[in-house]
Amino acid sequence: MSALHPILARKGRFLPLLSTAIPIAALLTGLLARQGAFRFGEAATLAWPLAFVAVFLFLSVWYVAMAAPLRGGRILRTVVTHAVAAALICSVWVLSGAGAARLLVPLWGATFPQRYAAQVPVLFTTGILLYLLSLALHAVLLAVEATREAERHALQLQVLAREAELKALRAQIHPHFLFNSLNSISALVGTDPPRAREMCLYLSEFLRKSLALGERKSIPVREEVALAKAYLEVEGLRFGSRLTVEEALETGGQDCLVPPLLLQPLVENAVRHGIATRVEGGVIRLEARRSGNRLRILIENPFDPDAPARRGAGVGLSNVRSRLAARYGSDALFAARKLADRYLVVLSMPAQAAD
Amino acid sequence: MTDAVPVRVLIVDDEAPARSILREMLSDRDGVSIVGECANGFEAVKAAAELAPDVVFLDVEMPKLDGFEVRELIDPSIAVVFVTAYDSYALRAFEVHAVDYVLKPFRAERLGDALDRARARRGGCRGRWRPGRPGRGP
Repeated sequence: MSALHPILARKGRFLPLLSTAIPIAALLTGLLARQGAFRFGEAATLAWPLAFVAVFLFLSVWYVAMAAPLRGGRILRTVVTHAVAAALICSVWVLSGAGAARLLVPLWGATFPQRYAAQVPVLFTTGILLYLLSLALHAVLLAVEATREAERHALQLQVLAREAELKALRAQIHPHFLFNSLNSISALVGTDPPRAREMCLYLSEFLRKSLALGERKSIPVREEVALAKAYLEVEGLRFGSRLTVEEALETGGQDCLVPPLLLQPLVENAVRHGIATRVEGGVIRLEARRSGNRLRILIENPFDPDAPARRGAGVGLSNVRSRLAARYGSDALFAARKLADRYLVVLSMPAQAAD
Repeated sequence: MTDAVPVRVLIVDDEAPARSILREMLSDRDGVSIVGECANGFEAVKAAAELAPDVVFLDVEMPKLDGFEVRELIDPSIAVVFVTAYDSYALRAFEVHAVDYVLKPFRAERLGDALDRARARRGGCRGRWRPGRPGRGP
């Protein structure tokens, strides 16, 4: 928080602040006139300067409230600090009233300052009450500021988390896939140049798409699937006849929005922990279906139950799980099951149609 | 290559393009005879026993048995060169006394170095196939 009082820190707050002098002046006029010590006119001329001084004097309570917060600090220290500050501020206030009374001598007579002095205890008590009121208002102000600050902070964290997540996701996707693909290209350049070129093109397509999609907040399922297919084309050149893809993509399902690169880790898993573990390879099945207001996505692949677990197993799954939870909370469902020699991942989330 | 000590090589990788680049680069080398190619760990163990290669160029992630399991199951005197896209297995490869650890993709020279190391290792272990030449240490 800045050193400047938050009310003075922004334009357009000065007049509303000055206008708070009106009720204070009215209160003081009533108070001074009621005692019978002053006539109404006398009380009013005294009350207005006192009210304007009060407005600015009691703003300084903010600094005291910052220095001795009502919450979290030590109680004794807080009470003593505020008692001293209240006594000081009220003294200054009452003294300023005495000054005003002296200035008003030509108007109300030479005894006016003495008559004012008789009212000092009442004014001092009023000052203490104004201090407490000001303290309460400032406490509310500080709490609101703290809440806003916390919200800003939370938002910043969210943005940072998203960036970190995408970075992690990209780092997780690319390296080994890239190295293996480059190795295949290196091999094909010698034996089958047209296929080497084809592989370069598929690889570029996949990279371009994954980089572009990662920047967006949501993408339609059809784009996510197109990315997955570019990826599977590259893998297809590596694995040859071992890799087959089967898809059942319903139109309604394809139009739904999902976080970008949500399926990518799952498709990669299906290849690396599924197809690649089997001599005969197999079929990766992709399904996206909208039923009512739910989007259901299924990825199924065969795997070798006897194969040793490969590194990185579970990283992709937990990544997808946490991204779903971050986006949809408890409204999303994620299930990964092993059924004999088949691996099944099912995602279910609220269907959000693209505009 | 002037070092023409004959060496019997077995290539093991589940991806056809990966096998073909190994075949292409290794067959350019003097004295190399490629005795077999395998597409999974199980075949590799069988081939290693039947064909008695001097060196196996071995992928790590494969169906049936992975590269490390193959290393355990074959004759320990066979020199093993791991060929993989994963640098994270390097330490483990060192622990199982692999002759070398080549990262995909690779240059022909890098593969040649690995082959030379394997030749040297075999020279130190067993003399019957390369009489009269002292082995160079790895």
